[in-house]
Amino acid sequence: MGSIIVQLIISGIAMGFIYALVGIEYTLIWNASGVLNFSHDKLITLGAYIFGGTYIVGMQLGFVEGILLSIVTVAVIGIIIAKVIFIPLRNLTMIYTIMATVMLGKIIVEAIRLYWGPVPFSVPGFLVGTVKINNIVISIANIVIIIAAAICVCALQLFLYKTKPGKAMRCVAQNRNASQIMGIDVKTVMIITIIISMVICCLIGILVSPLLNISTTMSNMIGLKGFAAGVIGGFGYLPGAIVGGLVIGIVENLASMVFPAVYKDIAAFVLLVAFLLVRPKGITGKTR
Amino acid sequence: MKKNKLLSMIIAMMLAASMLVGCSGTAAEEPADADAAETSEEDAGEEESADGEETAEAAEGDPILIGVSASITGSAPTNGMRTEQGAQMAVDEINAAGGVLGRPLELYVADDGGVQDTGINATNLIASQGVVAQVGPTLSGLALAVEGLVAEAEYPVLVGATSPKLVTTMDNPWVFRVRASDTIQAQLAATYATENLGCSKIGIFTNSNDYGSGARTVIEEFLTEKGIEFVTESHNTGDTDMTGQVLRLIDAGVDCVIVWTDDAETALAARQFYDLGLDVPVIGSTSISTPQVNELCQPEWLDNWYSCTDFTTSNDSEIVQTFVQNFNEKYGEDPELYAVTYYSAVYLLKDAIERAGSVDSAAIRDALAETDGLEVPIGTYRANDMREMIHGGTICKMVDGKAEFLEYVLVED
Repeated sequence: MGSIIVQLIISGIAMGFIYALVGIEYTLIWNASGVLNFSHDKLITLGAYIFGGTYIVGMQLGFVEGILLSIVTVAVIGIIIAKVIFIPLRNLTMIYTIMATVMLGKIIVEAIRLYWGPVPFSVPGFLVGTVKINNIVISIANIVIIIAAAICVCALQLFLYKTKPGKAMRCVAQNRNASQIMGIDVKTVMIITIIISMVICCLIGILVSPLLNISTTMSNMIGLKGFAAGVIGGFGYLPGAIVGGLVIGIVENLASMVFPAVYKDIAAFVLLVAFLLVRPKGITGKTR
Repeated sequence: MKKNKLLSMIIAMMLAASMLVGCSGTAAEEPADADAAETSEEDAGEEESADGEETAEAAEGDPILIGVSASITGSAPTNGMRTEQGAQMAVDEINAAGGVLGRPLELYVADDGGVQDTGINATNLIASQGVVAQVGPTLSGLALAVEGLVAEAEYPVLVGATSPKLVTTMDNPWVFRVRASDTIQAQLAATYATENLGCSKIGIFTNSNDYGSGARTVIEEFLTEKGIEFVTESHNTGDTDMTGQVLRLIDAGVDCVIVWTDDAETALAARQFYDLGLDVPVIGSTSISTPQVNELCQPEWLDNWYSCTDFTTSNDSEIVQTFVQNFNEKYGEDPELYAVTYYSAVYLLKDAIERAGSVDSAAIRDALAETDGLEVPIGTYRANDMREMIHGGTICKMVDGKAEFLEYVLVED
């Protein structure tokens, strides 16, 4: 019994970090442009397809080259999306930009279906295998997810607090008009933010591909729970997204011990509604 | 500035290169597309010959028209293509051998799009052509949607739909089922686990949807009747993490697991069973033996997995091997479930028309209901009171990630 709980907590932490990363990429764009990016889960799928479909299965590259090339590719796509959608729409009413991102998501999914085909596939040999400690089995995919996500979060914190572009991003997040008056090039900052957000999306897609298989619907649930992670932790505050993600990941896994496992997803959303009702500021109580 | 230009050029080239390279998805589609083109060419040829010389040689008189409702467009176009290929191949063979009652058979194919409304239109269209009988549709929802139409039009329909609802919610004398129902498949899994593998504590791991929970009820009833211990776990469509369920199965000490779920979830279960060390025999639905699931799995995940299915090309019986070989010669690919189902169904119609001695729909219906022991590649057709034709299924064992025929098992019903 004890070992089951430990095991559930470990896989909960791994999924929690994924939700946290989703919460972060979501929050970054919200902070930089005031746009809720409803296509973010589709961007995760796109990252997985570019990595798995094109570079690994298609071009037969190594995993490291595949990951690096995927990141470069999504960064370029990020620039295009920023210039075509986010920058022109940044001063419009929120509803227009939301609709634009929802449609962007549709376009991406259909483009994926046309280009890579509707049949799901997996990346052979990528992050397979398990590590056994006593009678606790941990899959290598989970370990890699935890390490990679932790590195990603730390690097992002360093970038935001120690570098000039990072500081500019925080300024824009605080007050877009004031930063513009202070001489910060808001458009460039937005492009940088969207590139970072896209790269995180791509990494999420790559990290979850061994867990989920690559298909057009792979990231629907992750996308929703990432949003819940942001709200539970405190929307717009990066460490909050991490706390929220981990809470959801662990709670939903432990819930499957008590309730039938089909109700696992409900745990995350009950938590979301409860926080919205009782503590809309989230666990950390900060919004930015 | 120059450097920037160079960099952007490199990036643009890389992007262009990545666009040019396809992946397994596209690769898998290409042959299918090529095949579709071939088929349509061939179809055109056949139509000519049906009107022309070949008919004159083999069979004379007005052709006997048979309707085909196939999902040629929609979410699973390959299924429709295979339906048409299988039926067409049977018709060509029968015509070459002299036709039925001295008359040639002819198909009238309508596209049901895999959705109810188009399906209803397709059946209406078929009914208006004066067909003597219809084969298809395959999807259970469609079969339920068109059963009223065919009862009105009064001609027999052979459907490949497998939902138990086809028997439990309607009693239509015109609808016959030419594939094993899910009930039979699930019963087969439970029988094989208890009798052939000798398991005494069984884990049941099913999807919470109609398909999975229907099978779960059947398996639970069967095991309760036999007095065999079991534990039940389920998951939702689109679930990503089954750790909790798998750990509970391990904790319960099961010595066999019956998995009943759709393609993506089957592959996921295979991976997580393997990763978490649930090392017992696993018996599952037909998903496991399909190529699309096999491609999602590493071969070692499927060690000690069995599959209950309708048909496998690895069945070494003569009738199946001849069919596989002929299909390969005609279309250049291995047949699958849809091809074999409707190939067999056309032969069933031929048999019934010959026994009825006329092309009167009511006579054909009565002859169909009396079918007893017709050998076809999908199995042995024998009609029961509920107008179900198939009463058994194939057990495959997964070897190196591919399905291999073990045996054909009959189920009492």
